[in-house]
Amino acid sequence: MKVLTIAGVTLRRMVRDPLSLFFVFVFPLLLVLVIGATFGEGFQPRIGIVEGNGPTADALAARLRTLDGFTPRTVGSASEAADGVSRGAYEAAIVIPDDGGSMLAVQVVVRQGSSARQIRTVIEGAVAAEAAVLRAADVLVAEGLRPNLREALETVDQVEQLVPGFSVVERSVDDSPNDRPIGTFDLGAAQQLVLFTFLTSLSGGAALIQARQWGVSRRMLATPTSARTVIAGEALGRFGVAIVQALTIATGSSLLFGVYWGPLLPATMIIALFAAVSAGASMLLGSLVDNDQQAGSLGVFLGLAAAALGGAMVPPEIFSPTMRNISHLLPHAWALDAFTEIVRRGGGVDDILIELGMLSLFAVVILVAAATAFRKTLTTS
Amino acid sequence: MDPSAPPLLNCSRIRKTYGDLVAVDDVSFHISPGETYGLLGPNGAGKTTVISMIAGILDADSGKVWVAGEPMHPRATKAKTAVGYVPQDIALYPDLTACENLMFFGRLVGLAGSTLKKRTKEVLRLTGLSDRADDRTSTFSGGMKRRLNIGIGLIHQPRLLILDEPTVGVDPQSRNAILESVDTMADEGMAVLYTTHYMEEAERLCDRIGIIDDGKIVAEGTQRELIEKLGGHDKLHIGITGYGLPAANAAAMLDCVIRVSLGDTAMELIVRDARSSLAEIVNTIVETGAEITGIEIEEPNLEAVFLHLTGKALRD
Repeated sequence: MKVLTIAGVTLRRMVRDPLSLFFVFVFPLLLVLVIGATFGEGFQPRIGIVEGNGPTADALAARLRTLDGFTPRTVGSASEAADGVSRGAYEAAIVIPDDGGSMLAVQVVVRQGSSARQIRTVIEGAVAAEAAVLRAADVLVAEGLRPNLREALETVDQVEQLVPGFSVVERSVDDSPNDRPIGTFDLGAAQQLVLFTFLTSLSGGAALIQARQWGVSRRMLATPTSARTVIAGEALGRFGVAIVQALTIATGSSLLFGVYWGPLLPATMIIALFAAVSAGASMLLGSLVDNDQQAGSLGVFLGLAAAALGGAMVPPEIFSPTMRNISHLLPHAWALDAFTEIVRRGGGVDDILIELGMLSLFAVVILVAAATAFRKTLTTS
Repeated sequence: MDPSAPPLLNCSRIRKTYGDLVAVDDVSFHISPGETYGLLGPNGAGKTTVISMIAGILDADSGKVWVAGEPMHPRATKAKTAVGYVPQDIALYPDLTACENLMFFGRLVGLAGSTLKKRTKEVLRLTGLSDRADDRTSTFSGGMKRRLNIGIGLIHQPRLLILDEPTVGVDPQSRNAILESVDTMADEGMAVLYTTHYMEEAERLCDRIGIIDDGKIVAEGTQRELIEKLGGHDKLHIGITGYGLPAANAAAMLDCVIRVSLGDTAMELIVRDARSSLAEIVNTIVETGAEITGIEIEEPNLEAVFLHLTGKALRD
């Protein structure tokens, strides 16, 4: 019961602090909202189209406007398009030159990054497909089979319906044919969850330092309460904060944005184990650092660094093999692997045993180290 | 205070080292129920380490501490139940209310349910904080925080109260209230271990005093015993008119008088206990026909004893 009493105070103090409340509950959900609104289901990249002059350029522009999966925007000039892309007004821009010569060299303007690469690939494919249609229509006009480009295009469209076509389905070597279709939204939310659960926990280490500075922790030891109980209570309190935050992100994003977190049991196990790791990290930082302000800054730095290395800030898919190995020195990577398995491949507990085992190992090692360090702070001086 | 009662606190040859530093060296003392014991020493003398061992926060390297007949150590449950610890720092959660702080520590000392609620109300009343019970302690004045800090130590009605410099930074009014509370609690049979930087507090409150320096108790006893151990005696200035020499000679014959010097209008006597022997001295002088125009007693104080023993002022 005393363990619960001490843990309860940690939770109560967190709830009393408006700043903590914002960073624990509101901010992660806001980020999920932003990421969801940007990349989630129903998201259509905005494409700026700079139209050239001439029938072919007009026809290509008209057809690009009808492409599925994009929201077209007319842009006045190539420089305006580049500016819009760099400012984020459009995810990409297509600059169609004026007719002339045998080749219509269409320019695709994108930013660097994995999503830009995907968008560029899709646009290039679409432009190539439309260019093929236009060339076929041009041939029909040139051969005198159709009087003008408009009728020629109608004919080509009709023929296209009758002739079997080709489609390309991309599959990574890591993917299974049974993979659930998934938007960036889903895994983006998992990344936010591990990032913020760990980051907030580390920042929360400052509260432990405050309790030490105020002498409250030592005072607890003067009551008939063992050091083990105090440590367990403090750890449980931090675990409580971490798991409440993680569950809020999971539940909130699921209810608000339809994020799929996989089957309940394995998802809960991942969240619980990662919360335990985060609680241990919080206690460890709170025990090793003597200044609460330093701990706050250090917590943010370490939290962001761990998230970046662990694949919670940038997609782990873009990591080199070496970096992927390094990322697995951090619990984030194991948690994200586990989420990928249950979310994308419909895996269950059996399929993520290794990931759960590694998270358990991280939790035990960090909690034991934290308990040892915290005990030392309590029982010396 | 019942001197025949078994001591509530017994420290026997406790020792604590940190590496090569001997923080506490062979310290022994005891406190009886109803007794207020002052532990005085300059900063770094080892007071807080001694208190930490008595409160069960630290384990002694050697020696023993018993509280209410139970051995005290960090894992002791029974002994800790008998102790109320009031640390020098204001050890409260500023983001919790006074009531929540009391209930939190009340639960840690084993109180629950209606007993906890009742004691919380009583302590709030005792500390004069009933009307601020539901306010966060971050909004309290320094004096209010100090009072609550002490209140937490009293929540379970301990038999031994440890007060580690409880009046630091407190306004005179709150300080007086705290001292009166300590007096009252001792009168009710509570044993009190009191450390302070204020000599007048020790003189006012403490039945016995231990002076600690460099981790050792260098002197112990009542205030008077300590003074006498150093050969300190009271000085009596008596203004007289009339027959000065016979009066001085008569006074010199008294057992309590050690030395007499006679001036033109006054005599100065070195006496053993000026307050208890004053009537006898005055009667003797008056009987010689001299007329007393004024009396002034100058007693050696604890500050002088402390300075003599440690070579430092108490606030050093």
